[in-house]
Amino acid sequence: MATTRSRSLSGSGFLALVGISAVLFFLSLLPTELIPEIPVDIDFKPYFLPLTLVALLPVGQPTLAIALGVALGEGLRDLMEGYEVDDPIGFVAYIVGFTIAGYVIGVRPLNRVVLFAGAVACAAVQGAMEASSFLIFGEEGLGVAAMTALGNTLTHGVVMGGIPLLFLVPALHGRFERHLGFAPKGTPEPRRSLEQIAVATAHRERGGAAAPAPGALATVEDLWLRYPGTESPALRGVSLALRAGEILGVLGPAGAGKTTLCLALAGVAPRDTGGEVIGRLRVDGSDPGAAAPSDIAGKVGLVGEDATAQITQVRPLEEVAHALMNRGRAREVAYRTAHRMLELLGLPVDLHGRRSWELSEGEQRLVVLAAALAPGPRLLLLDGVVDGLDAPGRERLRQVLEEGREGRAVLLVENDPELLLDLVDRVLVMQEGAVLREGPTAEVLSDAALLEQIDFALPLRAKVARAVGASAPVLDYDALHPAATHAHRALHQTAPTGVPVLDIRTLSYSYGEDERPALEHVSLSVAAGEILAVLGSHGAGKSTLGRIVAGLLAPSTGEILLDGRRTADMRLSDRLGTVGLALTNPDQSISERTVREEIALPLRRAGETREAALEHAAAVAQRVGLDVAVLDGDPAALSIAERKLVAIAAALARTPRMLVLDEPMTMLDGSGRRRLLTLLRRLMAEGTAVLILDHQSTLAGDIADRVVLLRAGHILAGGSRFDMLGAPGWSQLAEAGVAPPPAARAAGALGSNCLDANELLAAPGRA
Amino acid sequence: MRVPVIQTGRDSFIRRRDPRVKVALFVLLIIFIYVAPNWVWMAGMAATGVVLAMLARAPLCWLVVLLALQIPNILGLVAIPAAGQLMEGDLALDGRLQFGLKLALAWVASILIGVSLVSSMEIDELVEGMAGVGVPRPVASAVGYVFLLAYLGFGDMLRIGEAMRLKGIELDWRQPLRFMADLIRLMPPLVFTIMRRGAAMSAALSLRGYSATRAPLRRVPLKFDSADAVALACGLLVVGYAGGVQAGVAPPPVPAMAASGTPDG
Repeated sequence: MATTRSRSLSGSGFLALVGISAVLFFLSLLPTELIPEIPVDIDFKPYFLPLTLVALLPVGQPTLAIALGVALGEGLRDLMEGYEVDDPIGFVAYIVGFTIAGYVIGVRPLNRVVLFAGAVACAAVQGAMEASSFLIFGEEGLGVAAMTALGNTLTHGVVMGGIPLLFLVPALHGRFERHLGFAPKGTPEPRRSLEQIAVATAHRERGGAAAPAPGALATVEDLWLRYPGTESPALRGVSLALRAGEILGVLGPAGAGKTTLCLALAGVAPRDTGGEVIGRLRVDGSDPGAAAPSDIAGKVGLVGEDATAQITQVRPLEEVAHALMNRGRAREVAYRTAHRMLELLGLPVDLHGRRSWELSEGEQRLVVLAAALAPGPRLLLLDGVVDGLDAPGRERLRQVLEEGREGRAVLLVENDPELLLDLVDRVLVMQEGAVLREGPTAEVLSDAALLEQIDFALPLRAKVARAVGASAPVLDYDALHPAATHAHRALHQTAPTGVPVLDIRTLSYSYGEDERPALEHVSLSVAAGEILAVLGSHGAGKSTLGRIVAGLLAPSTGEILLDGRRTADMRLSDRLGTVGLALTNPDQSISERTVREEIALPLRRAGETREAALEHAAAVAQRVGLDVAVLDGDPAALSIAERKLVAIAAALARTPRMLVLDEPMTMLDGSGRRRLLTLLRRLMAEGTAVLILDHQSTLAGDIADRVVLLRAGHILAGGSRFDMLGAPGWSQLAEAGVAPPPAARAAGALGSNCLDANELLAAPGRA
Repeated sequence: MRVPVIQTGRDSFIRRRDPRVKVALFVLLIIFIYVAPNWVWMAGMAATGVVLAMLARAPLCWLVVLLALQIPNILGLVAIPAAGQLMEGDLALDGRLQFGLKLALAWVASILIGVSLVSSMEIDELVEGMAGVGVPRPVASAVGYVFLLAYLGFGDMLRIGEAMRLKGIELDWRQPLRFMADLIRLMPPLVFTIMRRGAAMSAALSLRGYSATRAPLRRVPLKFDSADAVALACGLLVVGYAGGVQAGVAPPPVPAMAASGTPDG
């Protein structure tokens, strides 16, 4: 196998690899620490993870970073668990041992003999050096040193090194290297250089705006970018210009290059991601790719799609305040500003000093937003952030963006055209790395042919505008009737019409004794073939409810019945056969090498044979709308929408009577949303009960039978979709922090009570 | 998501001490382990650790679990050799047994003192403490970054564990082979998640103006007062004296505390 030439790591890239190696080693140590040591000091440290990293990443700087990381991981263990006498020499020994291993196994990582020998050599060198510490204590230490060195060579090198390595290296090869900016080993060099591709497509595919206007805050001129080990560029001749005071929206399907554009403008790509780039980038006079990170830090703020991964401090207040202190603000001023910014974005004051990982994902998102906004960047890049905010959060963000609009440009990447209509001045539509069109928001987002080309539906406001014969391309709600006002009806939770599959009775749950309850006296039920949507803002208790229903948490008080059986009397394996839960983030559960195996795993755990499970898995995949072509592919390489569908398929594998979906629409593009809707309709028809947990009402507006509003752990109201999401229910929706769905907003503006988009379009004035 | 953290945040005499002094005492502990003349000194350090744990209001469960994990070592180093000697009728506390006692007590002392000191410092305090005693700023910053990434990663690991339970995978150490196989099965999502988080975190630090080599403003206020001075002086005195006794340039306070291998020890 040809080795891949290593690229020079940036400072943050080197630090990232050191940290990743340290933490992976440390975390994998934790379960093995519970295995009793064989006296003296013979233990079972999991060498297999760092050895996998040195095997699969290029030899050189990455090897050293990983070796340093292992030493640091051990140091972290020392800080938390107490120092051991052999540790000073042990730290150096880790660096030496893993560096040697990298140069041995990094050259031929898929050769089993080399892998095994390298692991044993690493453990032998490290073990012998570390054990020599006992000699400091005199000749009595010699016996202990010898026993420890030999014992740890066997445990670390063979049991926790060589043997697992033989399975782990092939299992992970080619699956993660690109995340760190390296081509997997054995990847052939691209057939054409980036420049050749750019020149070859110059006359055919060049897109983007005309030459950027003078005075632009940010300009991109004919930018091409290709990641390591890939043939096709991620950005193909992109050009755009952003002026201060402008908000530019970016829309496109998965793989369009939206995130890459953000990373390039922030200077992260290709500096930290690796890759080649040609073209010109300017942000406030600097080239983000060439400038020192400290220069860019004051000019650009970036909040990525996975905002929670950008948490860098223990507490929200520090997250924001330290970003200001890094820009030279005094501590008192920084903390005052931090408090204000967090309050502006809606994070309750009592959470400002909590530990970041104790906040909900939505709350963490607010913290990261505050940290990006507080220093007052000239260019703000928001990649898939707004869709993940609840209605109050969006409104607050909109106000904050308006307040500082004058001196700042914003680039907003979103998958929801309705959202872009509300927020942006212009829209850039991208596909396969190229710009298809750029222009005023209403004009671009009413171009049906364009949106169809990128597999997005026309926004409802554009459809309704056409249906009513409006002169404007999209419906302007403020210019039409105000929302239809109806006398507020007392709304109460209605019971399902059928026999409940899920019956929750006065459920309460607290995470800790001194914590406010996450759920309090919640009662609801879902019948077979019914879809119940539980809606609420961040921190309302939705995800907690989902985890309790699936059996991951036990209620503090109250009772849950599944198909009439008390869950307290059920084993988890039985429960998993009745309830399937698909989490918001599918990446937390993807472990297998192929999509087919991923879906088959729950079936095999339930006792099916491998062959039967794989066949069954293919059927389930088809049922959820996955293309048969992806079945034998790596799930980690799929788009986020497809990964979510894989996770849903795995949840449906055992044909549960009930499916729970936690924020199913988040991160889905147009195609993903359509496939999800189709699946839900099929499940309803088949008699599966579905529980949707969401902060948005769009999906509920399309398909839910009943809606329950959750606020601060309590049920606020419940009723039919019509009652809860139509105009009569808007005041309670607002109280729950949920915005009405697009169809309801359109209906309200037209003075109608219709919630069905098709019916509304058919007769907008009479519906 | 509840992540077990070593930092307790409880107010205590140790909590209020300057982080630089606490880090310096941690370093002195490490030195002491190598210069302590015999097991009696190490027992004294272990006793000091108990007092320190009480003063620091160190996490009791954490300490109990860590000390319990040392039982096999204590058995192997002390109990078994002692039992063998007793069976032979040899009651002398000689070389091998002394060595075993010293090593076992070293482990106990380092757990008690190390956990007491570290649990009283937030991550930023630890970083400033390390930089304050001369650890290069990039190294101190890297320690802070790794500490935080570890806590966040632990939260991710718990979430991954939950997600895997939904597929029927539960780590059960009572079935070792299945435990190992399932542990390996947890690795891909753990690797992907930590990689994404590590890379995103590092990029975010860079975009927020963090520099591993330069800290424009100290992130936590540091105050060195008389109590800190006394604590540091005590630590230096103990280590210095122990080293002197070990080197034979200082007399032991009592014969039992003479260096091993000397007529008195």
